[in-house]
Amino acid sequence: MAVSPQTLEQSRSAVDDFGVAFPLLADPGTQVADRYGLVHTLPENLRRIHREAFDVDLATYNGDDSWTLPMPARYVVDGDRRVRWASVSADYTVRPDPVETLEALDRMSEA
Amino acid sequence: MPRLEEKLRTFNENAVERMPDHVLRALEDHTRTLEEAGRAESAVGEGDEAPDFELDSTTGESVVLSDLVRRGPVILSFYRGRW
Repeated sequence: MAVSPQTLEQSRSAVDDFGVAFPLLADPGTQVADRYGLVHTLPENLRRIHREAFDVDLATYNGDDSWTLPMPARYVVDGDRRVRWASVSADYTVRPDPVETLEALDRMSEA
Repeated sequence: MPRLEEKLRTFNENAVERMPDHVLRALEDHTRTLEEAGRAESAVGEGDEAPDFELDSTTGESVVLSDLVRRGPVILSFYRGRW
């Protein structure tokens, strides 16, 4: 499942956009992402750039004007709520290959 | 089939080509700030307890992490948005 600060309505549009087969969860104000240590705030120059250069106003997508975002992260969590594999990116253009995640799951089922 | 890393690299190269310098610099500066502060390293990671939560889901129900993990391992992703 995937968590973002977008409103539920925007998340539902994302399901339509990308045809995802898993639940998207709404994390208003990045409160849960904050518990995971993932949250950062876009500075004023980047807010302007997002609005003017990308036509992206986070107030619309996220339903608040905090301009907080999570660093992209992917976790494998076991039955004891222990993280068995993690990948956190300070650089939002970098993501782990799904193969790595699947290999982590394989290792868990072998143990 | 190209791996994700390759596809992302191509995508980013194309995006960067179209970006004014000042935009690219601002984005890179912010990323560098996060990297220099060690933000990725200090986030929840391998071996840590995953903080529990209850969040509304596009399925119409709310999801509680501690309930879900009882049914099997959970892949939990955080992303910025559909934009």
